[in-house]
Amino acid sequence: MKKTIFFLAMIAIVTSAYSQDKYFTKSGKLGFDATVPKSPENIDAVNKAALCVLDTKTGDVQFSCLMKGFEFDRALMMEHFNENYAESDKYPKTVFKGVITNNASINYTKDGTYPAKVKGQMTMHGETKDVEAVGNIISKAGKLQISANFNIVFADYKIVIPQLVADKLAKTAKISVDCLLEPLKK
Amino acid sequence: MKKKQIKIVIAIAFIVIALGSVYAYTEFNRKATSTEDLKTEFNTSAAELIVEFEKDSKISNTKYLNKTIEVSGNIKTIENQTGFTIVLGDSANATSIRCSMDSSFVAGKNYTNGQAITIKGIYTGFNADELGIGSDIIINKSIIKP
Repeated sequence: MKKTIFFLAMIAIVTSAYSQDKYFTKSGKLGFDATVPKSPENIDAVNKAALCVLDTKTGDVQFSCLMKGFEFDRALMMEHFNENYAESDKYPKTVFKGVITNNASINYTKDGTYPAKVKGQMTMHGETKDVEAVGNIISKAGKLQISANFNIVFADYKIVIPQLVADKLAKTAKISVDCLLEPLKK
Repeated sequence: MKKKQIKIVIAIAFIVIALGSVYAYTEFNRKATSTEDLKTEFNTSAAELIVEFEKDSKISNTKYLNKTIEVSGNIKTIENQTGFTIVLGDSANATSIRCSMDSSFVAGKNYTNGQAITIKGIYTGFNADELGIGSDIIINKSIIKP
């Protein structure tokens, strides 16, 4: 009897220690594109060090990235982005906290592509706003590939675009998310 | 005499405008300076840097922010998801240094875990351990010093 209890306890410990409810990455890719349609000038940047944690049990998902981590092709654009628009010294981090609303319909343990709806709040430039996005979760060989696209309106986050560049810079930015999550082992 | 003066003024104005537009053009098209050409402002070891951040991440953050630093240490892991990331540090420690490699980086040579290397890059920020997955010192646009 004692042995059985011990054995069961061991199984419980082992399974809880290796329960793969949580997935994460520290090198997620976030794209930012504020190019005006038909404008020859591309205003885009990429951040390759975004943090993402997903709890498959509850559907809780969290992203965070450093504003300084966005790389632009043009140096001047990057300076303007950090100094005038994002004010990265004052607001170094952007955080999104949300939940996958259709979490129950996603079978994380079975390989496949699942559409996912995410609802939550994003804090950027000191302002917190509700954000909704639609994306895909691809489960493959124990890893989760997350991709999503959504738009943000600069004015919502009190990011002011000067008149002078108003025709070069879109009023909304397209954000793309591309993360490969691995199981979090504790 | 007056005509000559006007001519000179026009010539000067023309030169100023020409120089101005050349400056504006080059400034507008200026690419980010490659890490190789940046002057190293701090030279440290991975262990020392981690200790510094564990002691006071706020002070260290302001000290290093946007600065070009050279860090020597052992490779903890190498990740290749969205571009290469070389993680420096000690596997016994939860804090590590994540060096996001510059797009010029080619993984031609084989780098192995535990190998001692020196990485030069721009310190971008510190991610405190909020989710129980360890704190990170983020270094961007990194290159490997030969």
